[in-house]
Amino acid sequence: MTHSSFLQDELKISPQEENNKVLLKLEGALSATTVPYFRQTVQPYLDRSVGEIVLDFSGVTKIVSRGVGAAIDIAVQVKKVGGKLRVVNIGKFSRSLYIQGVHLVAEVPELEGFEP
Amino acid sequence: MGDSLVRMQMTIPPIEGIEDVPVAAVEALAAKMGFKPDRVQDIVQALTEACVNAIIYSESDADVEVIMLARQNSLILEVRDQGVGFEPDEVPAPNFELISELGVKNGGFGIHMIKALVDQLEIESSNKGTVVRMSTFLSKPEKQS
Repeated sequence: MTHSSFLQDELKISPQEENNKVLLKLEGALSATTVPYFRQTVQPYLDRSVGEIVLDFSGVTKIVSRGVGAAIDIAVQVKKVGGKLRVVNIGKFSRSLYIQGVHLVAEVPELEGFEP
Repeated sequence: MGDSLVRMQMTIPPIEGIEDVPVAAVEALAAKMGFKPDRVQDIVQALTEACVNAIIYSESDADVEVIMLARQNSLILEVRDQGVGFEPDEVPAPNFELISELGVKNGGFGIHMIKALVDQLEIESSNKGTVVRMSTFLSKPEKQS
Protein backbone atom coordinates (compact mmCIF):
# COMPACT_ATOMS: atom_id res chain seq x y z
CA MET A 1 0.00 0.00 0.00
CA THR A 2 1.19 3.50 -0.75
CA HIS A 3 -0.05 6.94 0.22
CA SER A 4 -0.92 9.75 -2.10
CA SER A 5 -1.52 13.09 -0.45
CA PHE A 6 -3.99 14.35 -3.05
CA LEU A 7 -6.08 11.16 -3.05
CA GLN A 8 -6.04 10.50 0.68
CA ASP A 9 -9.27 10.41 2.67
CA GLU A 10 -9.89 13.42 4.86
CA LEU A 11 -11.88 13.89 8.04
CA LYS A 12 -12.70 17.13 9.80
CA ILE A 13 -14.00 17.03 13.37
CA SER A 14 -15.62 20.12 14.88
CA PRO A 15 -16.25 19.96 18.63
CA GLN A 16 -18.97 21.86 20.47
CA GLU A 17 -18.72 21.51 24.22
CA GLU A 18 -21.47 22.31 26.65
CA ASN A 19 -21.43 21.45 30.38
CA ASN A 20 -20.56 17.78 30.63
CA LYS A 21 -21.27 16.94 27.00
CA VAL A 22 -19.37 17.26 23.74
CA LEU A 23 -20.84 17.17 20.23
CA LEU A 24 -18.34 16.12 17.59
CA LYS A 25 -19.45 16.89 14.08
CA LEU A 26 -17.69 14.62 11.59
CA GLU A 27 -17.20 15.68 7.98
CA GLY A 28 -15.50 13.39 5.48
CA ALA A 29 -14.38 9.78 5.60
CA LEU A 30 -14.12 7.62 8.70
CA SER A 31 -11.62 5.28 7.10
CA ALA A 32 -8.40 3.45 7.87
CA THR A 33 -6.49 6.64 7.01
CA THR A 34 -8.46 8.92 9.32
CA VAL A 35 -9.08 6.57 12.28
CA PRO A 36 -5.87 7.62 14.11
CA TYR A 37 -6.96 11.28 13.92
CA PHE A 38 -10.47 10.32 15.05
CA ARG A 39 -9.16 8.43 18.10
CA GLN A 40 -6.66 11.20 18.90
CA THR A 41 -9.38 13.88 18.77
CA VAL A 42 -11.76 11.97 21.04
CA GLN A 43 -9.13 10.85 23.58
CA PRO A 44 -8.94 14.14 25.57
CA TYR A 45 -12.69 13.93 26.26
CA LEU A 46 -12.26 10.36 27.49
CA ASP A 47 -9.33 11.42 29.67
CA ARG A 48 -11.52 14.12 31.21
CA SER A 49 -14.40 11.63 31.72
CA VAL A 50 -16.89 13.76 29.81
CA GLY A 51 -20.38 12.44 30.58
CA GLU A 52 -21.70 12.29 27.05
CA ILE A 53 -19.99 12.19 23.68
CA VAL A 54 -22.20 12.73 20.65
CA LEU A 55 -20.92 11.84 17.19
CA ASP A 56 -22.85 13.63 14.45
CA PHE A 57 -22.54 11.59 11.24
CA SER A 58 -24.49 14.00 9.01
CA GLY A 59 -21.30 15.02 7.19
CA VAL A 60 -19.79 11.54 6.91
CA THR A 61 -19.23 10.50 3.30
CA LYS A 62 -17.65 7.06 3.81
CA ILE A 63 -17.11 4.57 6.60
CA VAL A 64 -15.11 1.38 6.80
CA SER A 65 -15.24 -1.34 9.43
CA ARG A 66 -12.07 -0.02 11.10
CA GLY A 67 -13.75 3.32 11.61
CA VAL A 68 -16.83 1.70 13.08
CA GLY A 69 -14.54 -0.38 15.30
CA ALA A 70 -12.96 2.82 16.61
CA ALA A 71 -16.41 4.22 17.44
CA ILE A 72 -17.23 1.01 19.33
CA ASP A 73 -13.98 1.29 21.24
CA ILE A 74 -14.78 4.85 22.23
CA ALA A 75 -18.27 3.79 23.37
CA VAL A 76 -16.78 1.08 25.58
CA GLN A 77 -14.22 3.46 27.07
CA VAL A 78 -16.73 6.22 27.82
CA LYS A 79 -19.07 3.66 29.40
CA LYS A 80 -16.26 2.52 31.71
CA VAL A 81 -16.04 6.00 33.19
CA GLY A 82 -19.80 6.25 33.65
CA GLY A 83 -20.60 8.17 30.47
CA LYS A 84 -22.27 7.33 27.20
CA LEU A 85 -21.75 7.64 23.48
CA ARG A 86 -24.56 8.72 21.18
CA VAL A 87 -24.32 8.55 17.40
CA VAL A 88 -26.76 10.74 15.50
CA ASN A 89 -27.71 11.34 11.87
CA ILE A 90 -26.36 7.96 10.76
CA GLY A 91 -28.52 7.94 7.60
CA LYS A 92 -27.37 5.47 4.96
CA PHE A 93 -24.74 4.00 7.30
CA SER A 94 -27.35 2.60 9.71
CA ARG A 95 -27.09 -1.01 8.58
CA SER A 96 -23.29 -1.01 8.58
CA LEU A 97 -23.23 0.33 12.14
CA TYR A 98 -25.80 -2.21 13.34
CA ILE A 99 -24.00 -5.11 11.62
CA GLN A 100 -20.91 -4.26 13.65
CA GLY A 101 -22.89 -3.99 16.86
CA VAL A 102 -22.62 -0.26 17.56
CA HIS A 103 -26.19 -0.35 18.94
CA LEU A 104 -24.99 -2.76 21.64
CA VAL A 105 -22.63 -0.22 23.19
CA ALA A 106 -23.94 3.18 22.12
CA GLU A 107 -27.21 5.01 21.62
CA VAL A 108 -28.09 5.03 17.93
CA PRO A 109 -31.34 5.77 16.09
CA GLU A 110 -33.53 2.70 15.85
CA LEU A 111 -33.25 0.64 12.69
CA GLU A 112 -36.48 -1.09 11.75
CA GLY A 113 -36.31 -4.67 10.57
CA PHE A 114 -32.65 -5.21 11.38
CA GLU A 115 -31.81 -8.88 11.76
CA PRO A 116 -28.31 -9.64 12.99
CA MET B 1 -29.00 -8.42 -25.61
CA GLY B 2 -31.59 -10.04 -23.25
CA ASP B 3 -30.04 -11.50 -20.12
CA SER B 4 -26.54 -11.45 -21.53
CA LEU B 5 -23.63 -10.80 -19.24
CA VAL B 6 -22.11 -7.34 -19.14
CA ARG B 7 -18.53 -7.39 -17.91
CA MET B 8 -16.54 -4.38 -16.84
CA GLN B 9 -13.17 -4.15 -15.20
CA MET B 10 -11.21 -1.49 -13.42
CA THR B 11 -7.62 -1.70 -12.25
CA ILE B 12 -6.45 0.43 -9.35
CA PRO B 13 -3.05 0.78 -7.70
CA PRO B 14 -2.89 -0.06 -3.98
CA ILE B 15 -3.24 3.55 -2.85
CA GLU B 16 -5.34 4.44 0.18
CA GLY B 17 -8.54 6.22 -0.75
CA ILE B 18 -8.53 5.36 -4.45
CA GLU B 19 -11.23 2.72 -3.89
CA ASP B 20 -13.74 5.58 -4.13
CA VAL B 21 -13.33 5.46 -7.91
CA PRO B 22 -14.53 1.88 -8.61
CA VAL B 23 -17.05 2.24 -5.78
CA ALA B 24 -18.61 5.27 -7.52
CA ALA B 25 -18.80 3.31 -10.78
CA VAL B 26 -20.47 0.36 -9.07
CA GLU B 27 -22.88 2.66 -7.24
CA ALA B 28 -24.01 4.07 -10.60
CA LEU B 29 -24.23 0.59 -12.12
CA ALA B 30 -26.28 -0.89 -9.27
CA ALA B 31 -28.70 2.05 -9.33
CA LYS B 32 -29.07 1.73 -13.12
CA MET B 33 -29.80 -1.99 -12.72
CA GLY B 34 -32.73 -1.14 -10.45
CA PHE B 35 -31.40 -1.98 -7.00
CA LYS B 36 -33.21 0.01 -4.32
CA PRO B 37 -31.15 2.73 -2.57
CA ASP B 38 -30.60 0.67 0.61
CA ARG B 39 -29.34 -2.29 -1.45
CA VAL B 40 -27.12 0.03 -3.48
CA GLN B 41 -25.62 1.23 -0.20
CA ASP B 42 -25.09 -2.39 0.93
CA ILE B 43 -23.22 -3.09 -2.32
CA VAL B 44 -21.20 0.13 -2.00
CA GLN B 45 -20.24 -0.70 1.60
CA ALA B 46 -19.30 -4.30 0.77
CA LEU B 47 -17.14 -3.25 -2.18
CA THR B 48 -15.49 -0.50 -0.12
CA GLU B 49 -14.53 -3.06 2.55
CA ALA B 50 -13.20 -5.55 0.00
CA CYS B 51 -11.12 -2.90 -1.80
CA VAL B 52 -9.77 -1.42 1.43
CA ASN B 53 -8.66 -4.87 2.60
CA ALA B 54 -6.97 -5.53 -0.75
CA ILE B 55 -5.18 -2.17 -0.57
CA ILE B 56 -4.19 -2.30 3.11
CA TYR B 57 -2.76 -5.80 2.97
CA SER B 58 -1.03 -5.29 -0.34
CA GLU B 59 2.71 -5.74 0.05
CA SER B 60 3.76 -4.58 -3.37
CA ASP B 61 2.77 -2.09 -6.04
CA ALA B 62 0.79 -4.81 -7.79
CA ASP B 63 -2.56 -3.53 -8.95
CA VAL B 64 -5.92 -4.49 -7.51
CA GLU B 65 -8.57 -5.54 -10.02
CA VAL B 66 -12.25 -4.83 -9.59
CA ILE B 67 -14.43 -6.86 -11.95
CA MET B 68 -18.14 -6.16 -12.36
CA LEU B 69 -20.38 -8.84 -13.84
CA ALA B 70 -23.91 -7.62 -14.41
CA ARG B 71 -26.88 -9.68 -15.51
CA GLN B 72 -30.56 -8.74 -15.55
CA ASN B 73 -31.06 -10.16 -12.06
CA SER B 74 -27.63 -10.14 -10.46
CA LEU B 75 -24.53 -8.12 -9.84
CA ILE B 76 -21.34 -10.00 -9.10
CA LEU B 77 -18.30 -8.05 -7.96
CA GLU B 78 -14.84 -9.52 -7.77
CA VAL B 79 -11.91 -7.88 -6.04
CA ARG B 80 -8.62 -9.52 -6.95
CA ASP B 81 -5.34 -8.71 -5.28
CA GLN B 82 -1.85 -10.16 -5.34
CA GLY B 83 -1.22 -9.96 -1.62
CA VAL B 84 0.02 -12.73 0.67
CA GLY B 85 -3.49 -14.13 1.19
CA PHE B 86 -5.21 -15.41 4.31
CA GLU B 87 -7.24 -18.36 5.49
CA PRO B 88 -10.88 -17.26 5.19
CA ASP B 89 -12.16 -20.08 7.41
CA GLU B 90 -9.88 -18.91 10.22
CA VAL B 91 -11.39 -15.44 10.40
CA PRO B 92 -13.45 -15.57 13.59
CA ALA B 93 -16.98 -14.23 13.79
CA PRO B 94 -17.10 -11.18 16.04
CA ASN B 95 -17.74 -11.92 19.70
CA PHE B 96 -20.10 -9.08 20.58
CA GLU B 97 -20.09 -9.87 24.29
CA LEU B 98 -16.33 -9.53 24.44
CA ILE B 99 -16.34 -6.46 22.22
CA SER B 100 -18.92 -4.79 24.47
CA GLU B 101 -16.55 -5.31 27.40
CA LEU B 102 -13.15 -4.68 25.86
CA GLY B 103 -13.80 -2.58 22.76
CA VAL B 104 -11.95 -2.88 19.48
CA LYS B 105 -8.24 -2.10 19.42
CA ASN B 106 -7.19 -3.10 15.92
CA GLY B 107 -8.85 -3.68 12.62
CA GLY B 108 -12.50 -4.13 12.04
CA PHE B 109 -14.82 -6.79 10.91
CA GLY B 110 -14.47 -6.41 7.17
CA ILE B 111 -15.30 -9.99 6.18
CA HIS B 112 -18.17 -10.18 8.68
CA MET B 113 -19.58 -6.95 7.30
CA ILE B 114 -19.30 -8.03 3.66
CA LYS B 115 -21.00 -11.36 4.47
CA ALA B 116 -23.91 -9.55 6.08
CA LEU B 117 -24.33 -7.07 3.23
CA VAL B 118 -24.37 -9.29 0.14
CA ASP B 119 -26.39 -12.37 -0.79
CA GLN B 120 -23.41 -14.60 -1.50
CA LEU B 121 -19.74 -14.34 -0.60
CA GLU B 122 -16.96 -16.55 -1.90
CA ILE B 123 -13.31 -16.10 -1.03
CA GLU B 124 -10.41 -17.84 -2.74
CA SER B 125 -7.05 -17.10 -1.19
CA SER B 126 -3.50 -18.38 -1.48
CA ASN B 127 -0.03 -16.96 -0.99
CA LYS B 128 -0.31 -15.52 -4.51
CA GLY B 129 -3.38 -13.44 -3.87
CA THR B 130 -7.04 -13.30 -2.96
CA VAL B 131 -10.28 -13.16 -4.88
CA VAL B 132 -13.34 -11.86 -3.02
CA ARG B 133 -16.51 -12.55 -5.01
CA MET B 134 -19.69 -10.82 -3.84
CA SER B 135 -23.06 -11.58 -5.42
CA THR B 136 -26.23 -9.57 -4.96
CA PHE B 137 -29.56 -10.44 -6.58
CA LEU B 138 -32.35 -8.10 -7.60
CA SER B 139 -34.86 -10.79 -6.65
CA LYS B 140 -34.22 -14.13 -5.03
CA PRO B 141 -33.88 -16.89 -7.65
CA GLU B 142 -37.04 -19.07 -7.67
CA LYS B 143 -36.59 -22.56 -6.28
CA GLN B 144 -36.89 -25.37 -8.80
CA SER B 145 -39.64 -27.87 -7.89
